[in-house]
Order: sequence, then structure tokens, then C-alpha cells
Amino acid sequence: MRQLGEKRDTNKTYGQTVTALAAEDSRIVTVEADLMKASGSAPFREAFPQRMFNVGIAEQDALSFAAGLAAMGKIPFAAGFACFMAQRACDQAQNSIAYNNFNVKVIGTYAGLTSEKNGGTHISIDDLAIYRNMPRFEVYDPGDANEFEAILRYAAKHEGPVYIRSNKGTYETFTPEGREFVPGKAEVLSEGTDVGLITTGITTLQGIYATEELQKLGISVRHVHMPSIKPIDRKAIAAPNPRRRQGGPGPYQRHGYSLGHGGFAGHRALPPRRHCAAQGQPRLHSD
Amino acid sequence: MLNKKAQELRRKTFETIYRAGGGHFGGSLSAIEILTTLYYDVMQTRPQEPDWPDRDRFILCKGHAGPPLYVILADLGFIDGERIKELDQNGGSLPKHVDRLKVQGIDYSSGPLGQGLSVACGMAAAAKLDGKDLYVYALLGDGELDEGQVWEAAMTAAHYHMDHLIAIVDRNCNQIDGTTEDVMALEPLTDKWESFGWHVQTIDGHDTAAIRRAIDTAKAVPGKPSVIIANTIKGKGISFMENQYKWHSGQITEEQFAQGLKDLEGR
Repeated sequence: MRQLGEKRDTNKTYGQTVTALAAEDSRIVTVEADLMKASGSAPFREAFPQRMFNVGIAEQDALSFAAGLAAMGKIPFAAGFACFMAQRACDQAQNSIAYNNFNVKVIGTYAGLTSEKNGGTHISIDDLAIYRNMPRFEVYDPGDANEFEAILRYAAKHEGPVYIRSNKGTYETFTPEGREFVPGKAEVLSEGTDVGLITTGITTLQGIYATEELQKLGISVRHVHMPSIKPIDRKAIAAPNPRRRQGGPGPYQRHGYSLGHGGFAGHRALPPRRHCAAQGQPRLHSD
Repeated sequence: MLNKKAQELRRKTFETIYRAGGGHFGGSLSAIEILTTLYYDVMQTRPQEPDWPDRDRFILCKGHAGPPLYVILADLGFIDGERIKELDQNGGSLPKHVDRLKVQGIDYSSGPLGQGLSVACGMAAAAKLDGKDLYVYALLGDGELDEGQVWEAAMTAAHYHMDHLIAIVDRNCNQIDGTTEDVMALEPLTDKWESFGWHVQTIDGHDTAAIRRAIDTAKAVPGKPSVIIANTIKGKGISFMENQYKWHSGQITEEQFAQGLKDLEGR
């Protein structure tokens, strides 16, 4: 089982990282929709006031505007609440960015259940599924702030649209700081023979806690952390769990079951009978 | 001279859409003089170097008017003239809504209405950041102004003082389900743009000299974006199509095609 490291804040990480990246690469700009406070990008504005564009409470305008910046060779990081970046601005992400193949990085803040205190309208449990279905977009759900930084650094270098979840809050870290992010690669956090657990994002931390509890009960857990939703690590999902006594891998994430990586894992790995019981009519996806 | 070119392009556009099996006649024919003035008189582009970084940018927000733009790109040498035959054909390389990844000379793939002006704002912002003196032109349909995002972008452009952004509205007064005033009233349109902080001009959108003058005027306005409301006739030049909203898109018979050619020659 992975040892936990120091706590690190997601928002601060975004502000620090995107500012540091902008100092290295003059093409990097940021777009905000009156949610600078949620993304944590204030340090960027202080350092590069001319390179931040706040379009007001207008997520649709924000993503199309970012597309226009990218069309001119800029590398925009456009941040907004995950629920609005995915649902309200879905058409703009799809058409202005993905269809045009513009080099825009979309940051979905307060993702998953991390906006729970804002109520149901602000919870984003389908952003991964929405972006996963868009052509050309790569989709990442970092497990901790160290990995978030690594993914931001990767995205700045990668040519093409990327969606990255920013999970509100300060959490213990379990990935090492400064490690280079490898897209499409899952990480086995613990090996076991009784239960299979595949988690993504900050839910992996819950998975680590759960593994600890299960081990106390004498149940061994194969725990796989999967920050890369698209491209996905097929081998890690398809890898047989040593025994199916506990029902095979149990995808666990802060996301609608049928459409995130759980959907993928479910379709690929769960026994058909269980799969149908869990989801009703199966829905297949391109990946 | 420019008017003669416009007439030639109008005929080619009419023929091209007919041979493709039909399409968006109305809004293609209304935009001919605007597109002609931009591409043959105003915009700085290099057909042999379509990705020239300092070129003026053009966004066809009303992406369904792809056919006249393709005709122009072929005429100027951005694309092979033979490709015009591929418009809307299975396996062809010219989809009716313009596609930048398939067609050289297109700066933005459009079609879903309402997004183009935001993209134009982003382009203008980037150009300003880099100290480039280029202009960004956006051609919007008037029906397109129903889309809320257009007004988000209108606020953004004014807020950031985008004086190198020039929007042109093809004010043909018709959209798919009826006249603009019947479906969703736009008037008073000048007041709307003015109240959003834009410099506004209203002109005859079929007069190439007036279009040129208006663009020159727009370029001289400092500190704010400009919009030119170009009054046009939907289906311009084809007797049975003019000002008929039902000709937003459609198919024509051989007889109608012959009639259309006759109408165009009579001018």
C-alpha cells in the first residue's frame, strides 16, 4: 500500500503551476469565467495581467474565445466549474475546440463531488464521460495535487485539446512530487488476490483508506489508480483479478457509474450478468 | 470591377449549389458582395502561403454560406478549382459548412451558429497581445443573432476594446422559419449593438464600394469593435428566390436552374 505524503491544495497548485509554465512559455495564456477564485489562478493574473482573459460569467464564450486564442498559436488554459465546462459549454468544447482541433486545455474545477456544498446543481458527475466522448480530447482526473501539477505540465507540452479535472480541496498526496506524467498508464498501488479496486481522481485516496481497512480484515486488495481516462490503460483494466470471489474489479469513483472510467471498466471487465444488473441496458462507447 | 467579379461569383455559386444537388441558396447569394469585397479588395492574405501568420483572419460564422467562400478560394488559388465539384458529395472534401481541416484558407470550421464571434474575439485578443496589426473579420447571419452567445461575445469585444475586430451582419431579414421579425424580432438592431459598446454602420450590402468604405471607416474607429449591418436580399439575383425565406435552403429543378441563369444574365 502506498504511503501518504504531505497535504497539498489543488487550487494553489493550479495557480503556481500555470504561472510557472507561463514564465517558461510565452504562448501560455489563461481564460476565466469569473471563477478565478475557484481555479486559483490569481497568481497568474498578478504575474501576467495581459495574458489573462476573464470573459465574465459566460462559459460558452470562454471556450470559443479560447479556441480563437489557440487558432493564433496561443496555448490557453480555460478554467471553470466542471459542471458548466462540461454541460453548458459542451457544444463549444465539441465544435469550437475538438472539431477544429485547437490546442486548448480545459480545466474543470470543483469536479466530481467536491462541490457538494453548493448543492446538486453544481455537482459534476458526468464531465469525464462528456469529454471522453469528444474527438481529439485527452481526459485526465489527477489523484492528488502532485499529479495535478504533473498533468498540467504534460498538457502544456502536448499539442491538442485536453480536459483536466481540478478537485477542490487539500488532500494527502500519494504520488511523488516532480514525477513526469505518463498518459494512458494506470498505476498499481497494491497487489492482492481477494478484491480488485480501480479508482480515479481523489477517490483513489478513499481507495487507499479502504485497502487499509480491508487488509486489517485479512482481505487482500489489488488497487489500481487510473488518472488517465482517455487514453485509457486497457491492460490495467483487462488484467485479470486473481480471484473473482468478491465480484471482480469494483470501479469506484466520484462520477456517474455508467459513463466515466467505471463505465469503461464495467464494460470491459465485469461479468455480463453483474454488469447488466448494475446498469440496465448497457451503453457502449467508442474510446 | 468588383461588382463584375461579384456577378461572376454569384453565377458560379448558384451553379455550384445546383450541381451539388441543392443547398443554402438564400444566405449564400445574399453574402456575395460582402465576401467579394473582403477577399478581392480588403483582406491581406496569401493564397500561395495560406498559413502566413500575419494574414487577416476571416470567420464565416454563418457556416452554411460555405459554397461562395469555396468558389472564392478556388478562384484565388487557395484550393484546386476542380474540388468545387466535390461540394456536399459523398467522399468529397468540401462539406457545405466550412471546415478548416479539410480546406486551405479557412481559418475556423463553423456551422453551429453563435460561436464564431467568440472565436473572432479570441483571435483579435491574441493578435493584440503579439502586437500584430492584422484585422479579424466575422460574417454573421442575422438569424444567428438569436443565439445568446453572440451577445456574450459582443460584451467581451467591447470590454477588451477590440478595435481590430470587424463584424459584418448579413441582414437579409429571413431565417429558416420566416422573416427575422416574425420568428424572433431583432429590431431595433442598431440600438442593440450600440448599447453593447460597438461602433455601428448600416449600409447596402450589395454595394461593394459601400462595403469598402464602411470597412475603412471601421478601421479608423479607435478603442471599440465595429459592426457593419449590411442590408441584403436573401436569394439575391434569382427572381423566384429573392426575399423568400423558404429558399434558405432547398433543391431546384432543371427549369428553375435555367430560369436562375437567365435572371443572372439579365443583369
